[in-house]
Amino acid sequence: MKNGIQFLVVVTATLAGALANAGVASTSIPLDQDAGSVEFRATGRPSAIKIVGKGKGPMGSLVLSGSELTGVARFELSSLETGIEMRDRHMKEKYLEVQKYPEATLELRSLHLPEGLKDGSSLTQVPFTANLALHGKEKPVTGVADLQLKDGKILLSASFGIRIADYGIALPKFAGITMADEVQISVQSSGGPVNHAPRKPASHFTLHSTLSGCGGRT
Amino acid sequence: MVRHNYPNCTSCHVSNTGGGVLTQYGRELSAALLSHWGSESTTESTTAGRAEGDFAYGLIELPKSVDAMLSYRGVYAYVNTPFVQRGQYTYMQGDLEAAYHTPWLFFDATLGLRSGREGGLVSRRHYAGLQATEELSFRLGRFFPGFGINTADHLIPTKSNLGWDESREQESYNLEAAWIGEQYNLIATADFGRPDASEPNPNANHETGGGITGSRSFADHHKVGASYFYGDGSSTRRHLFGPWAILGFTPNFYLLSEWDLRREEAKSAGSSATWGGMNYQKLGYELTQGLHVYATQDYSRLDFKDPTSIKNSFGLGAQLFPRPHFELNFQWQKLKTVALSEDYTDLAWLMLNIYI
Repeated sequence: MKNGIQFLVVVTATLAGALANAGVASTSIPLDQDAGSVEFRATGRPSAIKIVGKGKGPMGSLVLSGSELTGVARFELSSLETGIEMRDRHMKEKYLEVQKYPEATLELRSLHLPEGLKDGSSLTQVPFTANLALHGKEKPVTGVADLQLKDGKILLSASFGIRIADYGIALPKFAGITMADEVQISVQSSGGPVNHAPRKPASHFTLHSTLSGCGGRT
Repeated sequence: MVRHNYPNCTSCHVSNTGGGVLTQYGRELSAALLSHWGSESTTESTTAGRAEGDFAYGLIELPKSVDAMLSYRGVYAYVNTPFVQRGQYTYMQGDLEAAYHTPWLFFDATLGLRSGREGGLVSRRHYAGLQATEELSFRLGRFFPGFGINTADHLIPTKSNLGWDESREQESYNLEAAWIGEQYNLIATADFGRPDASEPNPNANHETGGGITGSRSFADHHKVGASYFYGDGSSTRRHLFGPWAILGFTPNFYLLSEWDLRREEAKSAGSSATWGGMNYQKLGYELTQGLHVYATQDYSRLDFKDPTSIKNSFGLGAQLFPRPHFELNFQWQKLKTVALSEDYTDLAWLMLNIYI
């Protein structure tokens, strides 16, 4: 079973435009919550039960300084839905405690982009570091990202792993099913063409959480 | 349930191949995802810690290591053929099934009333198993070998023509090894037939052999697989194989599809092998939670060289899960059995399934 969180960020045309324009010291890339989404993926055991939840897009902005991409993305945890109302209530009220901790924040500390990126370029396994604040706790995370520049847009996909216990979240259990401690999250964002005036980028976060756990057969 | 991201039967059922007694999680899903009314009633939402979907409505509290289910199924069928026009209610089956499980071992057994004139008690399924790891388990006992899609529609050709008709108590004694993973499932079965039943017995499947069925789930809502089975009966040997798929195009729109080929040869000297095939499709749409409409198509030709072996049907149906524990299923079919007539006849049935 795949462990870890996938943080998939598709960065918009503004970033691409910044790369195309020499001499721009720092470029802000606002994230458009309305155009984005968040998705998480979890696995409960036994029976390899898959749970996929979706929520609103993240808010915040990324910043491109030279070849370094940083920034902060905030996500409304209460917007998460898994398709089962009962499960959503448990997740948000009992485990994430959204009434006390309504947002998760991902602070991208460092993602280095090579120079000379142009339309059609793609990169894989670009390492990055970030801090994730969740459920009142903040932990560093590291991961890798894939980046593609195509048709004036930049698609950035990143993944990293967390253990929910590290964030003080109780291991979810329900009706004989135990969720795993490890969670997979992916985030997506997209935007407009490189060769035009920079536009407000759309953002699309997908959180995939994969939980593996223990528990006897039910 | 594949359409709801539950590709494995064990999400809801004790058995690796599905059907039968529900787990506690399965009961919760029955209320939350399947039922039209009562979805708000869950174990944690009720003050007494009991939910409508619980065993016996929660009036009898089971230990966490026990799952149980009391089920009843009956059908009213109307047949309109050139030879008979008749409507009749039939008791199909009624069983109490209980499963006991520890982290390493599990046991399951049913006890019910036999349908038909024969009457009496019958235990259709009983087995013991070892849960070696989270994914790997073994079980030994009486149950249907894993093959194709396990559906309660036992009259479809991919069940009745293959000798796996639960209305005829055709469960056999098997040793099964099952790998139930996140994406992949693999179930291998050694079939020992019915050493407990004397031959000839129309209610017993004496065939021995074995089979394997594998599947892969993908894109969260789909599962495809293929199955193979070899059977050695008293007068014939057969090979069965074919693909199957459970596709959840959307959480509401789904398809069950199975295609099987059969190669059968008589054990008598000088006989040649016969090739035949069958398929079953069910295309369904959930109009609102708990209410489904569907179309079915099935076809069988047990001997490709013999056109009189053709059976063909198509139909429309509706399925309602009004509240936890209840299912109503209505279907109208046009059916042609070439050996009897070239004309299509009508078959309509209304099934009631109660599982407490």
